[in-house]
Amino acid sequence: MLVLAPATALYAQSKEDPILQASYAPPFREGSILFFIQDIQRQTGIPVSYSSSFLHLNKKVQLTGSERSTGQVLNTILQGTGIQAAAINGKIFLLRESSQTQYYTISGFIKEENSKEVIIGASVYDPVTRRGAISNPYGFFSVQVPDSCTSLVFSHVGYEMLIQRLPLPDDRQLEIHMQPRNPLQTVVVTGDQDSVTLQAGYIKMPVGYVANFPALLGEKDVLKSLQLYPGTGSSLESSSNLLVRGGGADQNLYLLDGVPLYHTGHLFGLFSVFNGDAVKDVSLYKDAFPARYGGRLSSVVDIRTRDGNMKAWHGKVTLSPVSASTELEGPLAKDKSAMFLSFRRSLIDGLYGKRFNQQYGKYALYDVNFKLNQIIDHKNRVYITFYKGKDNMFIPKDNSPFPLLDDYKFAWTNITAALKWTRVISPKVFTNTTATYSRFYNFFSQSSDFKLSAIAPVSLNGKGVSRVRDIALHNETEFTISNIQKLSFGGGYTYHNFAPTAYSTNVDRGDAIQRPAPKYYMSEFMLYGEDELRLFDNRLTLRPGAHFGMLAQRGSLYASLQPRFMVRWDLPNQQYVQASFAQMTQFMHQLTTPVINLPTDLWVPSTENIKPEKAYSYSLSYQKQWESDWRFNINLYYKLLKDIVTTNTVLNIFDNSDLWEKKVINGNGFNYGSELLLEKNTGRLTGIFSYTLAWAWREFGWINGGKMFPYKEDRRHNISMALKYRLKPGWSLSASWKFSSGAPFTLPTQIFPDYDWGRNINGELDERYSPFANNQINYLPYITRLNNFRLRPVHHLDLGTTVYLGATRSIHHILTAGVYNVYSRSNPFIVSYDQFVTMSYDEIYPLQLYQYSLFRTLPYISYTLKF
Amino acid sequence: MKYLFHIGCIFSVAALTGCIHELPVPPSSGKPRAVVYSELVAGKKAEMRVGKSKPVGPDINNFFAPVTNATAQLLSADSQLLEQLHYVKDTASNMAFYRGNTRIESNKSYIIQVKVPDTRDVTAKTTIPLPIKVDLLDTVRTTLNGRPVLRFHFNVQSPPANSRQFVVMEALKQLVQLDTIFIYRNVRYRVRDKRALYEQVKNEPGIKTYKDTVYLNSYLRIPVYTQDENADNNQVGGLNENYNSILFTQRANKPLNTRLYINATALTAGSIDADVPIGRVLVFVKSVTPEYYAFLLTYEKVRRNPGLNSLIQAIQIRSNAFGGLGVIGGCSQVAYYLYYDEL
Repeated sequence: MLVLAPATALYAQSKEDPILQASYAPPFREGSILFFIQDIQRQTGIPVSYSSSFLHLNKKVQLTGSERSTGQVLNTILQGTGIQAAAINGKIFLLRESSQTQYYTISGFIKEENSKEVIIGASVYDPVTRRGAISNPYGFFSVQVPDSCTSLVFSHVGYEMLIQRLPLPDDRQLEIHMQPRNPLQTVVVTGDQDSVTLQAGYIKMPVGYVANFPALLGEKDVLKSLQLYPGTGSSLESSSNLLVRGGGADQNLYLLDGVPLYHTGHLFGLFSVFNGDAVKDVSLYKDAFPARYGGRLSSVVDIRTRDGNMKAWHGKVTLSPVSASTELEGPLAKDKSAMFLSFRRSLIDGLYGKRFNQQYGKYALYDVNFKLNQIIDHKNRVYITFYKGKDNMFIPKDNSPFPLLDDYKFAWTNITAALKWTRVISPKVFTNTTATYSRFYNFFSQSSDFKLSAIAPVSLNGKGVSRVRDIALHNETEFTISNIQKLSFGGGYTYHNFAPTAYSTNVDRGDAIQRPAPKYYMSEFMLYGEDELRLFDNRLTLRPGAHFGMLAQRGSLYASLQPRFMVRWDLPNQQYVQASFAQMTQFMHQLTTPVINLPTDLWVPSTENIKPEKAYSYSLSYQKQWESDWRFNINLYYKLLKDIVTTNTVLNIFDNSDLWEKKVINGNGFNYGSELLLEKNTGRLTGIFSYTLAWAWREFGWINGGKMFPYKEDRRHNISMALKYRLKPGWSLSASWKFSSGAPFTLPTQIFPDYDWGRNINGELDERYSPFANNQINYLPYITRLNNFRLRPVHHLDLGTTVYLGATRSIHHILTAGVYNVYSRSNPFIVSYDQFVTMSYDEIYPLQLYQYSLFRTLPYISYTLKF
Repeated sequence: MKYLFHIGCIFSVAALTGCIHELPVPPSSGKPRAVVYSELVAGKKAEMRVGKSKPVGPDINNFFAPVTNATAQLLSADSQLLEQLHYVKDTASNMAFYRGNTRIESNKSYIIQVKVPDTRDVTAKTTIPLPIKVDLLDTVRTTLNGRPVLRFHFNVQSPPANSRQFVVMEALKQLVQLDTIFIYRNVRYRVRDKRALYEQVKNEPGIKTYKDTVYLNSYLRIPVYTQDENADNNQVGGLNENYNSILFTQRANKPLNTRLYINATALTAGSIDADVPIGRVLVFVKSVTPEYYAFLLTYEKVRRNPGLNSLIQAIQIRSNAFGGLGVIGGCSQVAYYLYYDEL
């Protein structure tokens, strides 16, 4: 009992006691606390009594060299620990001061047991106080625990919970290894997670979701999996175009291992460029944006790829009728260095023969992900990541479904590379510095025998190129001051080089003025700081922060200070309410007309005439968890968009960079709604249910008479349900149903005679330079309000199953099969009023709405071999 | 692999099961509106075309019956009736044509009032712009992006201080009908109308014949181009694209020095590139009212794409016809008549 008593009174009486004046000559000036205590006992014979539960015995200490007595040595080695030496009845007692419980810092890395891959987002906490931290994107954590703490709990989705006994045997940085759960066992989002980062507007998607639920053609797609959550959606059925809370696809910041990506679609957005097999961690921020993120208005999608196995070589091959993928990972030097390589490619062009390609066109895509990580020492680590993805498409003019005038070729490529250095400066300070390179390159060409005129060349060849290139250097530092306060700060510089489309043909330009293709060279600077504070016994969390961004280029300079604030109040029984505000500024604009993800959609910067876009986002949420089984949350949000950019005409996709500033206008947007999420993560039956009720409006001075109108991506209701049932340990069934209200569409109120037709002016435009107008219609639409009509809702039920076959110790077989759109729903892909196929003014024909659907019932199957 | 191929075939078939559906168009409670197109040109007689719109609903088509029973009136700025325009029967006309005898004067305001049975009355007021002063500096046959073109170098003098001039340039080919007229027993006949009689009497003595040229109410629009970065066509599309008309907003004290290109393929009939009819070429340089200009600018966008599909945002056409649809625009113009075809 004495050792637990406050020391003040006892110390006052005993500081002059002879046993604290006893002569003692320390053998070394440096050593652990335990060493000096034991040495004092050995040399002087005076018993020293202490409790290891509050004294960090392995802490390294250094003497000044002037200590000559037991008291002086003890004073020095106990400095800053809140413990004092007191002499009582011929014994020395090491007693706590009258101040409260003492804390000390434990830091380290959390890794997977077998592969030594770092684990992101694992919870670390004291089970008694339930205070702790979350491992950062590099697996690092820093937590302060009370001296009375006897254990630390580590938990994570997909890993077995681990308890580490305290105190630690020595002062080293901790390295925790967690055991992965059975791959077929459903993931667990543990209810013990206590981090402020786990809030309703932040989705940390279990990677298992990518593979758990049925998918179009069986292709695991990260972005489509995110669409299961409330507040997210897509513009078209089964598109990977991610839309968050009424924002456009260009308003999401996509980070692949910290490198921004500008175009995320394969096959016009049908699949995303993120290979589900290569992904380790997916985070989506919808509100309460941490200060380190900036540059986009609606969301941040932060995707981390796998680091590679540090222990053994493993691989995987997956084959389906439409694609093949493979991965290989293993140690280059055991426990020191590892690599991960994945490759996937579509097979349609190879499997179905030349005739198929001639009839329908040729298409191929591939992705390569590579990562190398090297542990330099226990404080330093280096990562090198590389990604390349490419789409190649050829559409012959005489293809069967849609005969054209020209042969078309499209090829677009994404390349990203990053060199990352992480360093543990001290147990409380972690920093990472990243140099990145990102390039998006789009090439297209057209070729035909169509002669423009007698003087023109026999065949017309045109080609266009557009490019986005970024080179950046960033630093992020985390300083865990205490368990109730954590500082994050950093900065960065990005060099942007945008070259929107440069189009050229082999025709003689004649009088046409040769204009240099526009090119933009810009410097973007970023600084941020954020303080995370927990008050009132951790019940109140405050996270004020600010992000400063600046874009400089010739002719314009824009700076933006963006405040961020989040406040959360924890209620009993795993409940909380949270409110947040964030301002985001977007310096880059995407010029796009269609709702499909075209590689020809251009990225252009803010200029002298076009201001940056801004978003002011407010949210209020409530969350309740029932242990680790169920999670329920509800969110209300309101987002005001300022100076958002839209085109006021229909852009020619082949030549749309020409004086683009004259074709865009600024306006405002208003997005608001509520979201509901119910998630069950344990047991044989797991799943997710989400519902979103939302509105998205736009307002531009010259459109719709200056009045608000529904945004093209406005969807009133979105429902997602996904269930997975584990029949046996090696066999699971899954089902998902998605529903989305109809998209807005502008249906004319009236039609009336065309102006030219009414005046007997015939003739058609020269369609070669206006690819849209190749027909003659004798009427004009009278439109009272834009987007006044709703298309039919989109919904489909998909079923799937996964079976583990003939598992041996080293080889596993996995068979995945399913059916997309089981009840063969015809969902609208394109809806058109009139088919626009007439070539003559004189033709009289009925006017109808036509709905073009893409997918009906579609089976899929794939086989995976793992070793 | 063979197995995979079969699965692939299933996939292909499944993928192609996507199809087209006709969707019901919701019934409309809207009523037809009167449609009025009237370009009031300084120095010319008042004209207008009148039609009726169709509310979009089930079972409609794109047939528009001409409205021949409209009451079309030209009023002065203070609402005094100047003239009631009369219907001119022309079976070749797509919309009912109404014409008056009042010559339109520049810098004067007019009100157009049109009553079409079972629709709301249409009214619009417009002020005819001041005369446009254009100097044609030269014309050259040249090429533009692989096309033969005829280049006009215009200098449009600046509008008066504190005003803007909305300039529109366009080119049309007015078709011509060649005919033979014969006089038989002092009566004048057209061969086209009395072919049998002509065949019967053509060799009789005293029959006089001569050729005639009739300008038809039928035009061919000639695509026009510009390379001028100040043209408002840059709000519509690229500089290498073709347009119905080239549009400029000319500010005070700023002369407009620009080049208009018209597609030369249609200039001469019998061109090897296209089946071009005989006619004369009209090139207009107009100063128009702001409302008319706004209409033409949006019309240019809609002509490129009506936008009536879900992938593209629709464009709304501007109108100043209160109570109805269409446009009533004032215009002062300079016209150039070019005769390339041998008649």
